Amino acid sequence: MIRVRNLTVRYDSGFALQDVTLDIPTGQCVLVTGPSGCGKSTLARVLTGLIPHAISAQFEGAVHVAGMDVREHTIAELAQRVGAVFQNPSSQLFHLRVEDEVAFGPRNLGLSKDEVRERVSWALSATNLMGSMDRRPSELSGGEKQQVAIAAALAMRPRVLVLDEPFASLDMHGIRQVTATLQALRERHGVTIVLIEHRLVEGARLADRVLLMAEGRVIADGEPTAILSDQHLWRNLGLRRLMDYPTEPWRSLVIADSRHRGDLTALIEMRGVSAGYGGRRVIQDINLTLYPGEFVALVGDNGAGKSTLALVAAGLLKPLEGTICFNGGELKQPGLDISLLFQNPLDQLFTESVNEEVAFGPRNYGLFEPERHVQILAEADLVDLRSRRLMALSGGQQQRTAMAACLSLCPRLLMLDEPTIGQDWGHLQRLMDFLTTLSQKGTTILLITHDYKLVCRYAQRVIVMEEGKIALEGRFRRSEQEKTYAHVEAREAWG
Amino acid sequence: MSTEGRSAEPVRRLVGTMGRLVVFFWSISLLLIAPPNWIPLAVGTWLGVAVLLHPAALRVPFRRRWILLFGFLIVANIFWVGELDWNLWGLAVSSEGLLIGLQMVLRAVVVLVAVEGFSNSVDIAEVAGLLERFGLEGLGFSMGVAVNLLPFLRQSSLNAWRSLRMKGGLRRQRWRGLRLLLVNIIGNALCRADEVVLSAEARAFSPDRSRIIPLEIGAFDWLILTVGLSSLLALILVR
Repeated sequence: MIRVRNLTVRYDSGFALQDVTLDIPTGQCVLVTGPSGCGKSTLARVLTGLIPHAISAQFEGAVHVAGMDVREHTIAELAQRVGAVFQNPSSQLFHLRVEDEVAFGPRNLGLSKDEVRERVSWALSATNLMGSMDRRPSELSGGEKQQVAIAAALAMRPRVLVLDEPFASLDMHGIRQVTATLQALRERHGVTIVLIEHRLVEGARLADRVLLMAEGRVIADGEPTAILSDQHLWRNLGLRRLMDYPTEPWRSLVIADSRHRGDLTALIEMRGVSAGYGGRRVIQDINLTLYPGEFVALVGDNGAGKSTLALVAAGLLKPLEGTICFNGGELKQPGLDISLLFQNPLDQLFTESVNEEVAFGPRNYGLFEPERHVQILAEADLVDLRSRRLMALSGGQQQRTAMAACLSLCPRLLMLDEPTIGQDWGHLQRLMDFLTTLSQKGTTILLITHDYKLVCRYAQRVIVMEEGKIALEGRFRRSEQEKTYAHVEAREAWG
Repeated sequence: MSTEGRSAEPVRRLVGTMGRLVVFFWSISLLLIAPPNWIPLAVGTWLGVAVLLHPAALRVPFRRRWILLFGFLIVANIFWVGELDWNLWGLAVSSEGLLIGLQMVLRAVVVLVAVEGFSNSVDIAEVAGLLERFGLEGLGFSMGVAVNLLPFLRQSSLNAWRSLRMKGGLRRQRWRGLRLLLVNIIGNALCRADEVVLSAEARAFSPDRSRIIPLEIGAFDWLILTVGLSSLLALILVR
């Protein structure tokens, strides 16, 4: 179904794929994984024809998908054989009703009304969305949006479905919805699936085969059990292994424990806080205390109110009710005392270079000190990148720059909203180790995440949010799996 | 690939988008064209149609703000329009003003109910599809992109502003801060638009070959069009 021969793709910034050769037979589900920047997304763009037709890149080699040469056929022709689903579901939906969204592709092919209707019905029933055809895509949950994106791709009747990190922005519930849909497509309709993912548990369950990529090349190719059990391979690439992913709900992983160190005075204290948008309460009756030097994880499903709580704590959103006490008084200046790192670093980066970005806040507050500036750049490993333009940085580098800009004001509380999206474990581990050092020096860290392993490994305290309220507060319960994992790690560390 | 699965033929509505649009324009035209002494008959006919098509919209004129507005219209007319030839609880009022006020209220009620009924029963996508037929090709796609892009832009702009606030806001570098904020918002919007275009291209979209959103024609739509046009024509002739 897919035949790739000596494929090399080069962007202006360098090689993305180098001499890749592979074959994928009909009906197979292949999981493609590897560290950030290894060329996974470029492979997806080639298979869907976006490279070379819509994205500028140098292309060498031969790629045939469902019998079509991607260089010779237009995207419109390829779209009838290859469906594409991208990381962010919202950017793939641009109609006012689910039905029109799914019908968009077939209409572009110039099919008759009856044929379009028949395809829409089929795609919606294959993705279990028949009841949502009149809904607005913008009102759907993340998992539902991704299902609509899959249905829209399916309506083109593709033989191959290429999904580029479809789980990246979803919580466990959304991931389960999408996984069930893909499973059904594979079993009932025999669609060949190329699944590009960092998150391996669900991918491994679906896949017949795993392709592991690094630096633009395929470095391992085989059955999931064989590839995923090679611990040294994963460790060397800085990737996670399957055992890193508990699949239990948060409540069962946290042991209630509200004891705190009595010798410390509270850094921030929230009492009876409710907040929301346009009169709608997103968080209610929040009672939370954070102490200096603590590393706390705030967890819960999408929509539980985690980001709203962080905005209120940072002084960026006024509470509707309740009081917030910072260091015994009122919070005066957001950024100086409390800083928040947003999910998308691009929202937070303004200036033209790394150097300017890190210096902007201190200069604006009249607190710029050259020695401190250099120290922050060094701590965030940005010295060599200081003159680089922000748009030319990788996602991980952008995030480090945004964090360095926050830290340049020496906040006493640093909150990070989902810093894990699109990051491989190697990058994340370095970020977390840096945060641990900060926490040891007295900065309080509040980490908002869906990531079990980060919570298990780094958080001293876990706060579980459900439906806008704090449902549980305590510490992470180490499962048998985690104990085994810790034991193996310790043994490896001791050689 | 197998094509099994439900391919249900949707139940055809009795009144489709075209029918509802005809009723909307008919309702408004009816009250504009009808001579004053025909207004009760016109309102009666319209009321029957409204009860059949969108009864829920008939509740709208009973909202407090509309009742206050209607009251103001009547009061203003009975005191300031025409001769004060009536005595109402000791107050001199104008019977002509009362009639004019009532006519104005009736017309306002008809317009209000027609707009509410039409907007509740016809999706914005169908309106876009309708306008596409009048030469605005690609409007449905553009409106969809805009509607789905707006919440993202709003959130992205809000995040950028909050982020700037955390860096001291517009205090020492006011103009530079403002310029950088705008560049950030525009840059993010362009990135998002680029993602949308790639996604649309992957589904065979081309601006030259964009397809018009199909309109749903109800079983009675042509009948409604014929009756509606004939009744308006008859009214014009009678006048």
